[in-house]
Amino acid sequence: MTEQLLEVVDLVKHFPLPRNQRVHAVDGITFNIAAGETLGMVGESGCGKTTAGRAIVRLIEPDRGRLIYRGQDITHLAGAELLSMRRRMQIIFQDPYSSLDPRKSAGQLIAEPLLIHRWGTRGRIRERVRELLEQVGLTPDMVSKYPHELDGGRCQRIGIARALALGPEFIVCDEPVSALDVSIQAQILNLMKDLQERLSLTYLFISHNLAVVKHISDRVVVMYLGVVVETAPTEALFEDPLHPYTQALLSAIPIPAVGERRSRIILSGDVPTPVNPGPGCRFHKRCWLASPVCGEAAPKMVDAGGGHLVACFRVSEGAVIQ
Amino acid sequence: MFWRRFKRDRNAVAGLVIITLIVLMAVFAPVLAPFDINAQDLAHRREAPSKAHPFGTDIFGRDILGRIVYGARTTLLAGVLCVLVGGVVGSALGLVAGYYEGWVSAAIMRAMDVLLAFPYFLLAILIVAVLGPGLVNAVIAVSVTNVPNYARVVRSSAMVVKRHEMIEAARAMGASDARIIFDHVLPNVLAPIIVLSTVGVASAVISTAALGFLGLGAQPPTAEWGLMLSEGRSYITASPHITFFPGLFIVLLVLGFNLLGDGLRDILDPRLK
Repeated sequence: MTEQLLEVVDLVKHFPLPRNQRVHAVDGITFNIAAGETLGMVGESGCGKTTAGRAIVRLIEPDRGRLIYRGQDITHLAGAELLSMRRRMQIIFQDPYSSLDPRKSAGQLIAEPLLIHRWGTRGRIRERVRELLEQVGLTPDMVSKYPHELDGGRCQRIGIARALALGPEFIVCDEPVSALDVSIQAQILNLMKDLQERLSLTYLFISHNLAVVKHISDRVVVMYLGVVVETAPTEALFEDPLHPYTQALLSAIPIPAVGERRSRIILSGDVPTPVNPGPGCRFHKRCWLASPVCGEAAPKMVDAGGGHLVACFRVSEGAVIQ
Repeated sequence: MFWRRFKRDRNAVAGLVIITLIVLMAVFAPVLAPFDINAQDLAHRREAPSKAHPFGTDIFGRDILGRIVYGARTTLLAGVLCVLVGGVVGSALGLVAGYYEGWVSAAIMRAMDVLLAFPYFLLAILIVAVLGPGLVNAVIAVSVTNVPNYARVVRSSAMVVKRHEMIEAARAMGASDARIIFDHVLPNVLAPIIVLSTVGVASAVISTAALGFLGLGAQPPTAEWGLMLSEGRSYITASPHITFFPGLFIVLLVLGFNLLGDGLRDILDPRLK
């Protein structure tokens, strides 16, 4: 688990707006993904987690920063090199209905990446499609079904089969279960875990659902307004969140027990916009622990011990300042 | 699914029936009119409909029914060709303009705006005036006037489809732009193209007939409905049957395509599903 699969270094993506304004969707994020692990990425809507995911699989060109995949800089790959990179890196989308072409059957959808990469003869592709259907728990007769004939769970299974077709080692999962019924979410999550074990996959699992992330992740990255505020092994993060934003986020998880009470941290103020943010910690305007320094400079990531990294002035190397 | 909805739409079915009958007429023209339709019989000029000539004869004593039957070939072919050429070129431009935003799109659409700035029939006359009269040039002219309609409709549809996640999914697989345009965008913008084409045949028929009427389209002695209309116009009070029958068939054909086109628009509109 120590071998790094992907290093994201100071990734920046701004979207221009009229009148010289810029949306700082992703504003210098840095993190690593180890081979074979599941890295959860959480944050509220608009915090840039989807943009980050798309930039990692090279669907969006980052403005700055580097993506290092197994030691190779893939930030600016193009042409045949990018194509061969796409075999190893895939993405599963949030809404299976909009990510699957409604005019293609399940078989055609799953075969498409194989055709694009000239994977083999027609016969071998047909065989591979059948094998993939089975792998994601669909029956062979689904081959001729169209997305509108299938429920969300089955469609997402097709999306997964398509992502697996070329035998990738890394998959970005962009909210893969949040469009599904709760009853189906667990099935899909278990399927993904199962596939990870069998095919030794690495996941970047993007979600706003903390329970789901806790269930599936080995480590978690917490994003807020385009920056990473905290990274830690899942257990450490949920037991002992260090960043005030993470604490507020975790206090919002409902506790499934009668009589149990927990002090819920209610944040005041509006969510600041990611348009031209000022200097200082992104969270300082809503932080109940903020001191003057928080509005002046952005805190650096520091290691609080045991791989628990946090960007907050209250935490210095190895200790929390009370 | 499609056929069930189609059969419930009485207008569309009526349109399809009319078109089918006229197409059959064109296909079996030699059977229906087994004589030389260009043979003049000056002794029997401008004869009213009779047993020998059910639609009467024209100013040269030619059988009007026979000329209508053969004229269906010319008129249908011209109408369909105009739509085919205009539709293919216009759709291709629209797809490219919709998929690649920025200067490519701007350049294409400004060119389309220039074409649309002229009243379209004036534009057709202008093109024929440059190329010279004749059926082929008339078809080219009407095709050109059709191009901007397709380009605009297809572009706006393509821009909607392009925002779909399935396009990103295709890119993540490594699909080339050409593959995305033809394999994903085109099939999803086909519905408006089909509707536009069906209604487009009707207007192309009118346009080529009108060019024929003005002497800029099909040249004598070709049997073409617009030209036949024009040939009889001096005798419209004395021998109205010479203009009536070609006019009737133009109306029928246009009506058929309009009914079918309107029906298809309703059936293929996803909002009505």
